[in-house]
Amino acid sequence: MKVSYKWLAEILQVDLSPQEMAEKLTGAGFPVEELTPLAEELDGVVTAEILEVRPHPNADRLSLTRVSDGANVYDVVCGARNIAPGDKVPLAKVGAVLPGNFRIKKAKIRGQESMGMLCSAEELRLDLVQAEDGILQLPADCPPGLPLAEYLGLDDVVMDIELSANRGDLLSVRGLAAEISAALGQPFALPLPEAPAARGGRFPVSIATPACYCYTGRLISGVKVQPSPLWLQLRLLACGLRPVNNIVDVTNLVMLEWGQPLHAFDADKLPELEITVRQARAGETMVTLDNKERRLEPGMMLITYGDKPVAIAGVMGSLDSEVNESTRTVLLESAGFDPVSVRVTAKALGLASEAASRYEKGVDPAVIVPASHRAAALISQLAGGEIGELVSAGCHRSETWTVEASLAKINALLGTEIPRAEAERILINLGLEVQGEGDALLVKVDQRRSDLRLWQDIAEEVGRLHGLDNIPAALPRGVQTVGVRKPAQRLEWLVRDILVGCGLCETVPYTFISPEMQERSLAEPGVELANPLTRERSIMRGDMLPSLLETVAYNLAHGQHNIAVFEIGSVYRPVAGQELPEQPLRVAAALCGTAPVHWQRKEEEYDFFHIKGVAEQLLAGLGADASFVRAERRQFHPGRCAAVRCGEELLGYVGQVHPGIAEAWKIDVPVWVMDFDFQALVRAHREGVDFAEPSRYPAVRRDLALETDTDSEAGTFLAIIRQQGGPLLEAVECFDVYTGPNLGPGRRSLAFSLRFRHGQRTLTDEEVQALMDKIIARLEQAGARLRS
Amino acid sequence: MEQMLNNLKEEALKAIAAASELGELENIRLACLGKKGQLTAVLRQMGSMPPQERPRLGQLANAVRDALEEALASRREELEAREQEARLAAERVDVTLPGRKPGRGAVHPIMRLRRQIEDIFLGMGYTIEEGPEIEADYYNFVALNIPKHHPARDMQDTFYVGADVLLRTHTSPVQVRAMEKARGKVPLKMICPGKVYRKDDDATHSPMFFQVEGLVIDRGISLADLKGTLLHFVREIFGPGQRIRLRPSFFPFTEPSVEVDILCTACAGAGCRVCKASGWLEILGAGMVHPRVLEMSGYDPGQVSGFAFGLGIDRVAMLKYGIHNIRHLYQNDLRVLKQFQGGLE
Repeated sequence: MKVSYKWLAEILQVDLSPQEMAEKLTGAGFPVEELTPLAEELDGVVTAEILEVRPHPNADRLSLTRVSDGANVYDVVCGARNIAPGDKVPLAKVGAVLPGNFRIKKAKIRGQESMGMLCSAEELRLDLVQAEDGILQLPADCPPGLPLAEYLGLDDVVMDIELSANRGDLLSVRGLAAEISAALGQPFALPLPEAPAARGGRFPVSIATPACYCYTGRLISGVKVQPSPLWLQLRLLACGLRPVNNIVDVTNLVMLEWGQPLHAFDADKLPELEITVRQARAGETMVTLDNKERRLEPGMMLITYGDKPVAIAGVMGSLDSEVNESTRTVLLESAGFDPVSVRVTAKALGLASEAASRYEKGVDPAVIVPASHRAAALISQLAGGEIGELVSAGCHRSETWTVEASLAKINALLGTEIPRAEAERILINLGLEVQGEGDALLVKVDQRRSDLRLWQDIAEEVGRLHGLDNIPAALPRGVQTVGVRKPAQRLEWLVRDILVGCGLCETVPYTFISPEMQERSLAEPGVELANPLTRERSIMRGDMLPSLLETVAYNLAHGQHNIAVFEIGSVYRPVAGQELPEQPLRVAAALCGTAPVHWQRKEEEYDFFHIKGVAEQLLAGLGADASFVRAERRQFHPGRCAAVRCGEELLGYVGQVHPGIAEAWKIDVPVWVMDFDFQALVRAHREGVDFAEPSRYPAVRRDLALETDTDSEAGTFLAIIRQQGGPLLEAVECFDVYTGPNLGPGRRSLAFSLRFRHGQRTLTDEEVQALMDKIIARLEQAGARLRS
Repeated sequence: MEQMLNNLKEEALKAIAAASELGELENIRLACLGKKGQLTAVLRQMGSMPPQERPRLGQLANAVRDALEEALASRREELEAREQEARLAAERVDVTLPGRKPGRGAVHPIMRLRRQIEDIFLGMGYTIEEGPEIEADYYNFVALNIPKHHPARDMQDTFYVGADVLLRTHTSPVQVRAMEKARGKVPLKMICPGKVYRKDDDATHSPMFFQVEGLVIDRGISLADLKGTLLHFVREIFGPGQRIRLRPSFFPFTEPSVEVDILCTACAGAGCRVCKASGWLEILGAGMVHPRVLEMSGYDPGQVSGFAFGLGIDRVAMLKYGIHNIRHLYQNDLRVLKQFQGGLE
């Protein structure tokens, strides 16, 4: 909320600088985000009286004036029309600097000397409303020769305070003053305005909805609508509101002062002097003050005159009942509306008015009538007119309640030893009544502070004004607990460390993607947002691939040639009949471009066996016994994709992104990815190690060269070797793969190295040869031919 | 014969001393001491010597053999040493050329910090809890004392999936789930790190960011305990000289609520542009768990109390590493990520 520093200082009658006041508010929990001077520096601009106005001899649109600042008389050329002798105006003397760094110099204008400039409100950067365009007219009783800033009180500061959602009472000068005062250690109360003398003007008011708990109205007849006096306009400006006219400005001023929203209707434009507050009916419409036609819905509350809607209760009035220069009779409304009703209506209409923002946080019912009194008196003072009697419906006495707090409980919650006297003083300074003795603090609260309901609320008030800095620092005592990561949490970090060890950088992309990204990636459908920020970020991904490709594409576009990345993150997939989507965690990685270069090696493009190597390293690190099986997936190159299984369970896939998808992403190099289900990895992981005593006996090594056709898979032969080799086969490795002219088309050679060893004795040649014969026999059955 | 032996010795010793390679030395050995060598040839003439001369000559011959053998051995050692020296010299490498690295990636800066934060609280006996990012309105708001149509809903601009399903705006729903699961058991000490979402997008706000939530429920937990815990935490993260400042605040799920500032990490409290001359930086929100929140999740606020806090990991990462634009954390530019290859928090 924006509020005038001078207003607060005036009402509090304390000598605090704007900074000091801001510190008090910040300390009390309401940070002052900005202190902005109301006006720019206006050095050299003074109040002056016009003595004489003559036409400029050489220019029809200009006049020559003689102006006095009380000490000297100046000749000033002026282009405005709204000036006459006797007017009090701002004079920028030679040497003055106006906003925008505009320096006033002695000048000759069409042959006539000008010793300064008479200023308009715009030239002074003041957003004031005036009866006529042109030079800013100062009040007739303005003494000449005073610095303008001092005379108008332009040295005010706009304080922008961040308020909390539970303190509607602070949306007023009265509430803020009370808060600052309590922070200064003093109580504060603004006396409630008395009823002004009023006569006649009664009319029927009825409430036909539970969402209005009090409605008051009164007529003020014979008003003259015109711009407000400058002091009032400047005060509104210092609170961030724009002046309009004397009637509207008064309703705003009183709202700022008391926190009670007020509304003024042009009573002569109302169809009938009979007010009903009711819910809207389907199909009703109304044009609001901002000149927009609003479709009204039954959930919205209306003010109606003779059944015609003239305002959306607590949100905004209608355009056709607006107060303007022609208004003679004003109907002043001060009412209490249900916070939720106002909030829902304002949200539905997308209207955030000053009134609505107060109603939705709750206003103090005790102020509804006094605020009307205050506004009526001010209107009559500034616009003339006769004040009618207040008519009302539904207004009951405002509620009070007692919160039963205990000093011991408060101190236990805060971890303090605040004595009763201090706690009491704090609460009294907040304007609360305290009763009870010893440990019992019985705190009487009224609707001004409707946020105070529980003893914990009282504890907060005591703690906050005692000073949170005065609260000691301790640590929880009590039963000790053991903090350990759960197995899956430990594995997540293990996965992260393994992949980093494989040379991959961890990424954290946005989990929301665009429909296009989803489509381009042939991705599983994700979860659509109802109110996304942009279409680009409108779907919670159902698949890791769009994110991997986004990262790859971004880095390729930024000149990176060695891309090795991974992510551990969730995908989101709707599940029919379930409120929340499925949100499994995935482990995915991508390689693209060239592997890290080394001077001893040729530059190497990433290929299938790089990404498979990463996957194997990961699985080995997890102790998972996994196998790679040729697979076909729509997102992968048809000949370069493997499913990774552990027993029956599918862990994920590795392979090359389908070139069609890469092309759709405008990526013209192969992208190699792997994508695993994290929970499946957790299940595949083997805990601990089955230790085996190393054999003391020598190993026997045998090599095996097979010629096969290229459609056959090395995995088939490896499996046969392992199976036939049995427990004596310690290790087998494929150490060479060869295709070439001397093998003929469709043929290749695979070379394996086998190592046999017995745990308890030295193996004999005969034993090894027998095993080799068995292995070779089965390999030949499987279509391999032994090369000599 | 004596003369011959002496000549043989003298010449052989000369040749040995002059030998410059192991092969040459071996040839000398064969030429002198081999079966067809000179010494053997001389000794063959022993038979023609007078018998009384033989023992003396025999001794002399042995002495010559010993001398030559010794000379050969010592020269061999010399030559071997020299040869090894030459070989090793030839094997010299340029040690300043780059090594063949197995490749090293990097943990994302947010995850680095997440790990450190987790470790700090694990050390204080907290568990780590997790929960869904797409969450029910009940857990994100209602169970945290933010009913429908409460103005506090405006504090967090929310992405919705459906009427009652949303992207969690904070990690607090995990608190609620953990409390429900604990069924009134104390002590409950947990943290929950994870992604959260709000409709914000500028240099310091990202629509997706990371929070870590902390919760302690036990008998007699006080605001002072919260203060001490957070002080310990910020000193672990930002250094032992850190201080904290608590400011009153409002969150519907805590009462009292506080906002926590630390000494500005750029100027250590002196006042600078980063902290808008205040010397302090706001870093997290916290408070004593609201009695209604305790009640809704199965705890008796008459018996137990608790504190909770919520911290933006992104904010900490930006302060700690001096990252000014939050985009760097989510754009996944390798030039950014690779800077986090080394070190450990």
